[in-house]
Amino acid sequence: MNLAIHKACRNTQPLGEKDHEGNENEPAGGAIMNSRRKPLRQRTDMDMQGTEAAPVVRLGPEIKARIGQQLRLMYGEVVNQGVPERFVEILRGLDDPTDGGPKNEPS
Amino acid sequence: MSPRKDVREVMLAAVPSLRAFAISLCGNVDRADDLVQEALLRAWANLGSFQPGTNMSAWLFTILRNLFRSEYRKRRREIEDADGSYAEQLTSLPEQSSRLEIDEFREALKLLPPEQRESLILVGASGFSYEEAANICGCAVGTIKSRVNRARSRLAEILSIEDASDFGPDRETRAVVNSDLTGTRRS
Repeated sequence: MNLAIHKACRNTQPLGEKDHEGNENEPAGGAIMNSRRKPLRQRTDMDMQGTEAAPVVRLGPEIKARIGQQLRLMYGEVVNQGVPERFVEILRGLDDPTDGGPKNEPS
Repeated sequence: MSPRKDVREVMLAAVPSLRAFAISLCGNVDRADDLVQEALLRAWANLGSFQPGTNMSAWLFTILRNLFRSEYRKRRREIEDADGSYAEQLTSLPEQSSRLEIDEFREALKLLPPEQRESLILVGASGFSYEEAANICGCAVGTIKSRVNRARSRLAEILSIEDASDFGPDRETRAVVNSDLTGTRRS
């Protein structure tokens, strides 16, 4: 009985491995067949827990590219505003302790 | 020309990216600008602790992030801003369709845990390497990679980005393209 439990425990061990990566071990023919496969999208409870240790869904390159594009769009929206005058003035007004002189003259 | 003048120029050049980072951290333009200002002043006051030859931009990001983290701990409840506030504060609006898309993305980003959000932005938008992002956040490179992957997965989930069929022209563009096609056929 104890042995059976031990066995059961051992059998649960490999469950954490990334079994959906198995496709990559297929023979060349299979890999070609799969080259156009859609990105995997497996919603499991484990993926949604968001803990550092939980496994992550493997995203297709298109999804990564899409998210990257959105990120840069969002970020670029602010970057493209340039440097607001406020910061130009702040930096211009910084005292230079090594000079010991007055603040830079405003232009 | 004093070396400090060069430092000023480098700091000035970093401002746009610092602002973008700060806004994505706190979701509020005014607060983000205050954060950037405080980071610049603090950096200036602590120039002695900057290692010449290293990436000054990364150093500034580190200071800003640390300031945000200490403020975040103090004022946790106020940080998440009301919906739409960012768009209202924007002075120059991009065209409407991408405006909506960006807003949707920004909202989705807010749903991520702060650590995942900052990691994704540093690597995916600010252009830092995993190593630089790890230095900025004071954690291991593997942790950054893991957070970035997790953030992407969660965003794909929230935004229902599924597969290739979701790509290409957005709805508006498709509508325009389709109407163009019909127009061509008619003429």
